[in-house]
Amino acid sequence: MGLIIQSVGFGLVTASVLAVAAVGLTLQFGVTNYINFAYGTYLLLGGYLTWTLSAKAHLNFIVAALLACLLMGAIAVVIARTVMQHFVSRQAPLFYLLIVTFGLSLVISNVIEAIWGPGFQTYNIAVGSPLNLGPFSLTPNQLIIMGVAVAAMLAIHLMLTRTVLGKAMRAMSDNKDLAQVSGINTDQITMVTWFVTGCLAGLAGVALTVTTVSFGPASGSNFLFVIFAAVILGGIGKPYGAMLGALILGIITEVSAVLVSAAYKDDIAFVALIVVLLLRPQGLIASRGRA
Amino acid sequence: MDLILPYLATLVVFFFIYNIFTWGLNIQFGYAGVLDFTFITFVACGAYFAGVFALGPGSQQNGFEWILGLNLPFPIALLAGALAAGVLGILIGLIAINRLRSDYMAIVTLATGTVIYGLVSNFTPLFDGFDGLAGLSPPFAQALGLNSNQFTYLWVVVSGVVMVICWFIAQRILTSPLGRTMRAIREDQDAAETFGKDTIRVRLIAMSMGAVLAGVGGALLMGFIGAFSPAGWTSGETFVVWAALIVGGRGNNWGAVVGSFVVAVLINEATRYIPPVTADPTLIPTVRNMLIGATLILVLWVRPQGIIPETRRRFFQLPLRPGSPPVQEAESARG
Amino acid sequence: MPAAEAILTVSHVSHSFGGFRAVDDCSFEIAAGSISALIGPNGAGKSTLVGLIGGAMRTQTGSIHFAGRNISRMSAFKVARLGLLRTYQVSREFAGLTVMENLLVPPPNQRGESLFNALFRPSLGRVQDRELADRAFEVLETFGLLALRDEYAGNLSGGEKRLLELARAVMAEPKFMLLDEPMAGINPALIARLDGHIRRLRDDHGITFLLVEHNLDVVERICDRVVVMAFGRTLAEGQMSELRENPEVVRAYLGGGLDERAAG
Repeated sequence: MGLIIQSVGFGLVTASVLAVAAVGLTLQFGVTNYINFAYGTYLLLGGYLTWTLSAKAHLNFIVAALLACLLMGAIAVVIARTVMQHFVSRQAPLFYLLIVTFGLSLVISNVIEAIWGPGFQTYNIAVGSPLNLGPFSLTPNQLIIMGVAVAAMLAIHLMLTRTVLGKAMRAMSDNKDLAQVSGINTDQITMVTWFVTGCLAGLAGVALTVTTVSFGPASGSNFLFVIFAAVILGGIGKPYGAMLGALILGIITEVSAVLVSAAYKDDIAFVALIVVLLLRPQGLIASRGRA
Repeated sequence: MDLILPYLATLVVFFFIYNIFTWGLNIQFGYAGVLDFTFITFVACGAYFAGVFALGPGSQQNGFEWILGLNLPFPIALLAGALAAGVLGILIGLIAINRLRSDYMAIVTLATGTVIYGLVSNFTPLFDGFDGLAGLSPPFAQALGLNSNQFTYLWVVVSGVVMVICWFIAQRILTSPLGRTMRAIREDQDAAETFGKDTIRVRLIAMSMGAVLAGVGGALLMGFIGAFSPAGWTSGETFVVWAALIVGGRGNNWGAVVGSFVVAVLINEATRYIPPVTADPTLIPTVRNMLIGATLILVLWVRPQGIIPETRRRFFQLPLRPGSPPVQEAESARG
Repeated sequence: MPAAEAILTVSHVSHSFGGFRAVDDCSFEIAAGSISALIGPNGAGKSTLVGLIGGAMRTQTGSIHFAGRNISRMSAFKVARLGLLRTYQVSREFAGLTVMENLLVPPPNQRGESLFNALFRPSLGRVQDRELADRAFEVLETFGLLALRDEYAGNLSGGEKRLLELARAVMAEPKFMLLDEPMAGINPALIARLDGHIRRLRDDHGITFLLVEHNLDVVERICDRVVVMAFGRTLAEGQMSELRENPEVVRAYLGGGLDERAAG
């Protein structure tokens, strides 16, 4: 029983990483209306950038992570501006964009492999001795990740509810045409969204690579569909749904790792995805349709 | 000459097999608009099942284990591989294809492929995990008394014959009313539903027939190489087939041939024979993959219809009744 | 009043999105062989109702019967197979198929659509295609689209696409056509042609029509009977000339009044 409670603690850590990634993906999807299949490689790139900046350039880890997040935001904007915008502005069918992001994931993952090589990298960070907090026993790093994730979610919440930018994002997510005629500069909001979600991808990437002992060029691929599962669980395009989906999936996967086997963690997430798709494809949080 | 001819014959075998793959994806995506982002999983399914039908039983003592091991002749193994892939196509299709969103297809196929890859790699009793199947002796070679070069030439003929059969399957579907309905669903699923088309069923047919061709190609690969392991069907392989179809021209099986020649043979297979850079042995495969991804994007950018676009069906041959405008007039009416 | 028996019966249908009741206890009947209209201000719930009848959404409460069958929870393609055909507000042509092919998709019971026949008996499909193509030629000629038969449907003008949709619908041999704003965005000359076609189809083929339409002049010209919806429920039924006098209906079309809307 203690083991299960302990695994809930790990579940919260996984959920934190997952939530940051899933909110980024779903926010971008809501605004742009297509899924970015290269998102997993964005995460990985963020992790590698942080690793290079901290382990090679010997920057302070926090500074390195911050820089990497901002860089990922910039990279996301550059890719959106140069590649995606070409297809969006020509009103290309949806599947063009899906195939393009699919192809992009192959390009980026191989760029990563070309630069950093096929081997695994590890952070040289002290793990620290676990702290006992109630029933949970977590390392300081895990606590920091959870803290950062909660802070990021709070920031996203404030952005969506309190700022003009966030309100514009939500308006575009609801109805792009209506947002446009209401005087919202949709192109600008789209680019800002790419920046914000790119930063979130970078942040999630840092958290992911820190929590896993070592990481390699293929590390992002399995995580991508767990992110998808969280996004679909919460309803595509809904940031709060993605947070909920991440929380559920994080805990389910970690608890099942104890109950069944750690080898089948991804499969549990997959089963959850399939069950949701078959029973409630619109997601847990139902959308408000238009009359 | 002794070196070049077998090398070319090997490339021809790969060319033939990739034609079958590209037609398979064409049935799924080019005809019916199903975004199958895990095409290679069906190839693997065909290869594995053909393998365990043709191989003898695996045993734990020898350090390799797999299911079945029926020692059956290769043609039966090939059919088993095709059938297994077709069934898998229906199973994955049942989850992936719905009336809600087309992007779910892409997500679900990708996720299913990832999970199956993990299961097959880690669960050794199935297909011997990461080591995969091995030790299939070249089919027909012993009976015919062929050496390895002669076997390669034989396989050019075998895969050629199978390819021609696959061509007829793909073309007959395309030119039939079934193919027309698939293309209508590709254009607008909701509108096709309003004409009483069971779009999910039709897309499932496309999914499973495409998977059958994938399985046939996978079985041919298994017979040719004699081994198959997870290293041979990483998700990157799916991109090769996608790039071949997009480059050649989706919806057109001739285009698929051109695409599979350019992408699968020229870029993918031929570069495997470039000697590796000693300082960085993974450089060439990495650059090759980047090239394939970039090609995919670039073609959608500059020529989205591909090298040979879908052919326009014309109805000149039908009996025009008196009073109908002559054909030439009909042509010039729209310039 | 209905002289003929009802082919479509909507009884006590309600449908909500989240907390919003788009359709609220709506009931009406459509007589077989009639040309009827469903009108009402924006947000009256017409589009939702079209979606419910056509099977795009499942009915939450109440029931919809078509030709004696309960279609409340039937999926779209099954409803279509009963002979109820709907169109959409925007043209939904199969853009990448030619005009001719667009007409060859709808006919029901095509033998060449079975996988077995497609693979092993392709001549079956080919023979039937020839018959269907002959019929399609006739239909295209009556709709004035014959010259465009080999053009991709996506390249047609907006008006031509509207004609194509109607021509395509005819090929499906429906009993009932539910047209969602068929006159939206097309020029007056074409409107005259379209309503001529609708009347001819009713008279020659016995097809029942239900039009969701904003252009009230068109409605008055061709429709036998009109159902007015507002706030998700049926407000009034009758002939257009009567309804123009009905104070409740006039009030529902807030301020502007019926005639101004018709002009717009």
